[in-house]
Amino acid sequence: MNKKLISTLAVGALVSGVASAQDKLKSLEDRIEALETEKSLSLLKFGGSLRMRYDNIKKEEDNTEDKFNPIRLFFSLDASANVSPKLNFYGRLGSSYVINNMELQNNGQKLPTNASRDHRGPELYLERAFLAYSLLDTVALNAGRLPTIDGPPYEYYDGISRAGSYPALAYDAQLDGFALSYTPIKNKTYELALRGIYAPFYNSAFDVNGDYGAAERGGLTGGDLAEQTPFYTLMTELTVKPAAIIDSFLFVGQYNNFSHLRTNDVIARGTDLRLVASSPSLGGTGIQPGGALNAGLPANTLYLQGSNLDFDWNSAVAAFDFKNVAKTNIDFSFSYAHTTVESRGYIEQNTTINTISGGALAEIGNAIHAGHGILTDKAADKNEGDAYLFTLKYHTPWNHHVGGEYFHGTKYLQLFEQNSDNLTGFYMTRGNAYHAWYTMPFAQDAMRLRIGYTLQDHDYSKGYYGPVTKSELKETTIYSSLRFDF
Amino acid sequence: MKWILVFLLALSSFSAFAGAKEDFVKAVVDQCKKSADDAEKMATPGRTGTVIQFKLCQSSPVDAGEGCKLTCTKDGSNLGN
Repeated sequence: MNKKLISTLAVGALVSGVASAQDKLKSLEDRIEALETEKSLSLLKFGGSLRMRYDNIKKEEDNTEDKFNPIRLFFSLDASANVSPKLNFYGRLGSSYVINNMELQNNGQKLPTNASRDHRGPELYLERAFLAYSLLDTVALNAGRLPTIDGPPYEYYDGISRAGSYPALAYDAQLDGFALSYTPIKNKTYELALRGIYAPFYNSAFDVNGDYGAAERGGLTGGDLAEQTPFYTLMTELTVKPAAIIDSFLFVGQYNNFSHLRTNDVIARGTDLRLVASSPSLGGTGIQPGGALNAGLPANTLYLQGSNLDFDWNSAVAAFDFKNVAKTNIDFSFSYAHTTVESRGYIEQNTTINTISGGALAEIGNAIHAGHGILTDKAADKNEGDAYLFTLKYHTPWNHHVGGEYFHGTKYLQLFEQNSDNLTGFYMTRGNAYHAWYTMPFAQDAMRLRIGYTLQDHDYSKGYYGPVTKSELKETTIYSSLRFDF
Repeated sequence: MKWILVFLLALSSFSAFAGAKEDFVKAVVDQCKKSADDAEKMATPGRTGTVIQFKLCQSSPVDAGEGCKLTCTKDGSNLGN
């Protein structure tokens, strides 16, 4: 009797247990399915960075001294989406400004102190937005606003990982375009990538009504306005890690080229000035597209102010990066750039065009080249320059970083530094420049405090336009930067 | 049945963690020449754990412990795939 009862109870408990387990299993399956669904729907991952930087800048030249002490804020919000194993998206919105800058109101802008509640529209800017698509195992396409800024050795300063593609001396600008990469070698030790990038410049005045630059050409129609300047980049990138005596080695060889980039046009590209003069719609006198009417001109005369400047630029860059050299916690980077500028024409060219009655053209203007070309005051000129950048960083046993940097640029060096943190064009110095810094990570490396000093001893003048002349300018900056990554 | 339940429960809890952990273990094995078992032990959970630190790559190198410092790559920082 007892045995029968026990057996019955045991079977009952077993059946009940199995049923209970099946219920739990079904419940778990449902929960896993719900998690997978949520994960699929939550495609975007977010991160970002917030930086506050104080600069104490002093400029000395010809016994005069200028000082500037801005505090700036840099904010970026990163988003990424792993759509499939072969298709990813990366985006970044960014903003930077001198904090609480009341000067903005004098420039026709709104006050910064009520920016988010003054119906100003969004003022975050698109810094990156590109897709990465693997066409084949060895071929990948990137398209969009590419990660062309913050390249090596930018990562040295705050002890972060590589943050951009182009080396700092290549072309420090946010570029839209297409990149096709071929990676014939990719294993745990070696990676070799060959890359072509096409990021054309446009100078087309386009509005949503389909008028291509009507305003710039004084209401005229016709002509070729949508002008494009091709910009090609070829890149070779070799990564070795870990090597016998270093944690990683990186070499980037890059060639950049664009031709016939026009600058500072105040009338539309490709516009024949004779068209403006002879247009009946202009009445034949005194119309000055793109500028103030020049009073007092002779009858039937047009005075046009514009630019016929265009230039070619190319650079060849070699960047080498050694991480943890000889296992000494020392990182070392060397970059070299050779630049060539070929300038044609003048900026701020004044052109007087005489007409006869009825709009027929009698004489095409007298060009008065009051302005300059790129690195020259000649109508046509070609100049070449070089840049050298040495960067060294020591990673202390207590996880701080101390670093130093030396930059040298020759007389006709022409780099485009548009996105670095410094305000004095450190990486365009035509002369000698020095940089030292100390970085202290804290809060589980989420925050970093960096204190630094730069000295720029200029041998030649700064800037793009006009002849390069001797300079005695010295610029020093003491800065501190607080960075928070999340 | 109990073990299946435990396995599924673990799977559901750590499915998001698993890919990142595999990447971490692989990096430790490749870069620091540790065994897979040792690498597993070095994988610590949580936002400030080694796995997430390596995945987010907010600083480089990432200190994985036991003298192992990992070079990491932040997503979206370079061209290619």
